[in-house]
Amino acid sequence: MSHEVMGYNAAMGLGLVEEMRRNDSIFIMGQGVVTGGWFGMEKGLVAEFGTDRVLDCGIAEAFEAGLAAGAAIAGMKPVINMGFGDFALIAGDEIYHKLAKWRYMHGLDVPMTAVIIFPIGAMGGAGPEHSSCTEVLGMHFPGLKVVVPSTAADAKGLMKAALREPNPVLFHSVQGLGWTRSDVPLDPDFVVPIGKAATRRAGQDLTILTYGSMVPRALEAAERLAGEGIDAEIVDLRTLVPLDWDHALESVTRTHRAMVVHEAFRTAGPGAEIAAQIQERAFFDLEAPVLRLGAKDFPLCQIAELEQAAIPSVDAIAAEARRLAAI
Amino acid sequence: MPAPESALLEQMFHRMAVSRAIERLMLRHTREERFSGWWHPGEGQEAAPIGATAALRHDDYVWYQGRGCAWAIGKGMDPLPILGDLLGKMNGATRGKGGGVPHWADYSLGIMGEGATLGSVYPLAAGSALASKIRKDGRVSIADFGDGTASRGTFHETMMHAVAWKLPLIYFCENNGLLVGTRTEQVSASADIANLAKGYGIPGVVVDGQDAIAVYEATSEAAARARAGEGPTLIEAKVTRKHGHYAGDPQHYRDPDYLKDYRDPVDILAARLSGNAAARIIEQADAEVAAAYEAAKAAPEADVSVIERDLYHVA
Amino acid sequence: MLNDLCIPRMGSVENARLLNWRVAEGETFEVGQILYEVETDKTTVEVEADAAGVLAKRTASEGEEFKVGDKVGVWAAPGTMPTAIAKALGQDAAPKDVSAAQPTNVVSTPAIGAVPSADVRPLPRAAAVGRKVSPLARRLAAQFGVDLAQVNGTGLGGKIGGSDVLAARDAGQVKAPLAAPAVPPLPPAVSAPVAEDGELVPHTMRRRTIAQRMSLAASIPTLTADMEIDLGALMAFRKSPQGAGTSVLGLIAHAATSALIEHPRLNAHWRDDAMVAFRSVHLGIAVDAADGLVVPVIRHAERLSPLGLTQAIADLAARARAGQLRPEEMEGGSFTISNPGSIGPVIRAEALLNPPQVALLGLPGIVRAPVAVRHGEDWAMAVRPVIRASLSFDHRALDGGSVIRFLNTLKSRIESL
Repeated sequence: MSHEVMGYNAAMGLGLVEEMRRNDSIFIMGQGVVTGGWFGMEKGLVAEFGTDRVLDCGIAEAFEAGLAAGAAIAGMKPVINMGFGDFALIAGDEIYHKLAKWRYMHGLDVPMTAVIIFPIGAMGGAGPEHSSCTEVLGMHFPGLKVVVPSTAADAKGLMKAALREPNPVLFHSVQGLGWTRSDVPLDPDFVVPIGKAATRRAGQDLTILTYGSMVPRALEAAERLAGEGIDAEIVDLRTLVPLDWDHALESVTRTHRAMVVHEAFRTAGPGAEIAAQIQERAFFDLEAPVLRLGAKDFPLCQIAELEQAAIPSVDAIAAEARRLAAI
Repeated sequence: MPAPESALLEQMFHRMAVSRAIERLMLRHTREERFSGWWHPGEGQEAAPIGATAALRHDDYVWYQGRGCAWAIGKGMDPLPILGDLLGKMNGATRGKGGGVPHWADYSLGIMGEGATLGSVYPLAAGSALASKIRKDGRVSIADFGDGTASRGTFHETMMHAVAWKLPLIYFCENNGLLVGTRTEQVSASADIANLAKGYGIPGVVVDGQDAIAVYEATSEAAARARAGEGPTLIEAKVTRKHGHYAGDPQHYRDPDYLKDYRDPVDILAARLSGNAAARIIEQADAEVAAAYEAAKAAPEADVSVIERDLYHVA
Repeated sequence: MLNDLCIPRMGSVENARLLNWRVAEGETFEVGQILYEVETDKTTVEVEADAAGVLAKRTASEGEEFKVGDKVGVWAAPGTMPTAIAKALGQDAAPKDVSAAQPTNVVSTPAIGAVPSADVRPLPRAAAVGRKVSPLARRLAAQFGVDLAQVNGTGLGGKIGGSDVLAARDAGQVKAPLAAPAVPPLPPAVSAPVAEDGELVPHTMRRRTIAQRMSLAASIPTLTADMEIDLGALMAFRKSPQGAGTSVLGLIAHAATSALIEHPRLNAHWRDDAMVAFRSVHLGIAVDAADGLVVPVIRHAERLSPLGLTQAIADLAARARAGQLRPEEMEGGSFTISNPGSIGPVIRAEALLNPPQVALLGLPGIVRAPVAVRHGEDWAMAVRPVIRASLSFDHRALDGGSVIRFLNTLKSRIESL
């Protein structure tokens, strides 16, 4: 099967289209999806699948997420584009109670497929209520799976996996990567399994555990560090729930140094849990404390320059890695 | 609208009698025996769920609110999984996770479950209604709610879309005039929740919620309208909450004589039956519930393995 | 100006034996820094400095006994020059090269010798004072018998890292390994005539090894405690989606592993000079291979899920039976499970220990047995699947109480799966 270079959002859309062709139960709803979606992912869907399966809705996030839960319980496979990850908070009851807990509290071990798309992170001036990285919420409330693709191929492959997954998936698309382009397999059976991390760069001296928007930055930092004799391994976690601990620990116990980098706030961000578990599980394989790098604990400013200054840069990642390597 | 035939009448009365027997038993059980959680008694309020479910097809979807047990019984659930759940036993519908806030569900009977964050089922019911619209399976979904949760934002969010999309959805309000201890008029400009329907341009129907037949007729009409693709209806059943918000509620907020005009739904429906059918059915229902209660009590207690079940499904 | 350094008051303690000094003569110490460690009739205590200063002289030697209040050394104010100290002490010259006479400012990890395992941890607290030692370095030092006091730290601020320990090992800075426990010699090779209907089957290498190991094991004062465990919950778990693919052995091994983490004294090696407790569970699984018993080891069993452990056991057993195990896969176990019940319905599975391990869990066959179960307020008889596990233990290393507490944990973990 061939490959094609395509954009991250377009690849996510391709994954959705392929699965919609395979399965009549899949429908997508959101704001503006009929006209192709705010970020272009849903382009062409209505022409192929009609307005029964491609629905525009009002500004009503609690309704959207609750509808997804109800439709999924009734056997459909809803895909809801929530527009922004920030809106998870508007639909908190519907996502973290209904989607996550309905089967559990009713004692039903049955499949339930639903994909909630949360575009997350800085995108150049969207402001503090349209740039949040909310993926940690999905880690905290049991019952959901949580993915954050960092490449176009993963955006496609994880979307397909999410639609074949018998559990609700919070699919965090990365706004900052929306228009990045990379190689995507066109094979309709190409799936990126949920719960599998990927080593993006092999290295011997330290492990950078990261995901989403920080993967390309970590890779760039690693190239810089290589010139200084520091050989960093970059692990793209891809899925946060369930997290691929085997992969992460294999790397850390080999390099003996680990740091976690994400765009989410540093305090009580995903890195807090990841760092804690690494030291619990691999303490006697460590040369140094597990470091964390995340956004400053302040709301993001709307000025794009200030926004970037608040989240980890290539320079900041390289500097922190140097500090780690020196300990 | 035709009245129910006698076979259906007897089935309605049987299910009402079973519900009533469970209500009586739970009041005694929570008073005299160990009970985990708060039981929210539905005695006196059985006519609305029994009348509404009698008007539905076997595969229609019901999303119920958490008072009493008559929605599940009305939709065809056996007493045993209900009692097993309430008593925290392994043979309960939730394998003993339950308690006084009911979470029994049986998708094969269209019993979809209850959201314990009150008034949270509007968008869920719209989800199953949209599923029916996409699949063209002719099913109707009921979002059952209390007057107190008509204040919920998702009441409006969901209704906006359901009307625009003509979803096969029935908003079914059980208005007992009280949200816990607050009177409806303290938080609502209109005494009739059904008035809200006007703004959405859909029928808003007020029925006597103590009369199962009246509820049956109103629901039949709404279901027919939904199946015909004409969209939602808002039904408001005026009901009486005979007991406190929960078993043991001292109800300081109520007049002592609040039951002086009380009309019992069992008596009202019994009067529609011929001969001694009512007495015979009540005796039969009592025996069924007593047997189910014994079976529930004898079943093993929920063990800690329950904690780690049913979170993720493995294909 | 010199001050006396005295054994402080410690509750009702009267006598104290100086175990080791943590500060060298001439070394500066901070408030809160540990000066020396004493053993009392109750416990061992690290004595901290309550003021900053310089240790002028040690007047007491390690191993000496004192009363509370006795003087063990003298100290001077911070910043006091060596010459001033020498003068105050009545010496002419500057202090001698203290590092040559005494351990330096790093407390040496108690002697561990060459133990064939990672994740080794001596039971006494191994705190480094003044210099930083990474967790990895600590582990490697214990593993290879490297004295951290002699290691040159090349990390930030003199931190000793894993590579520093490996460099020290490669430079030969390894303590002499302790003598291996005495093993009874084997009788000389048989050459006596054999009866007509007998056949001479020469010992294989493995049989000789087994004989040697068993003789050694039989010389250890071993006791066995049995406990009945209800497997009802375990069987139900195996049928649940979460339990799909798990084996009974895998689940019991998983429960035993987490119980060992909670009871590390059973996850240990016995040596005549010290116990070696392990932070990780390196689980030996006795496998009945065609040419004799082998015990492959699952490293870091605590990192595996029940399913992962099930698969690891199946994989090792299959490769053991196929004779494909590598030597290192049979080394370094910290605890062993023997599972004769998988071969046939033996009713008791007492076994000899796998020295130097101090405990071994034997699993006989699962039987259906009448068990009293609770029914509300009453009790009733029920037929349940049960297993009567045997825990053999080295009575030199373990007392009955800690073994029973371990078995209690194991039982409750399995019964509440």
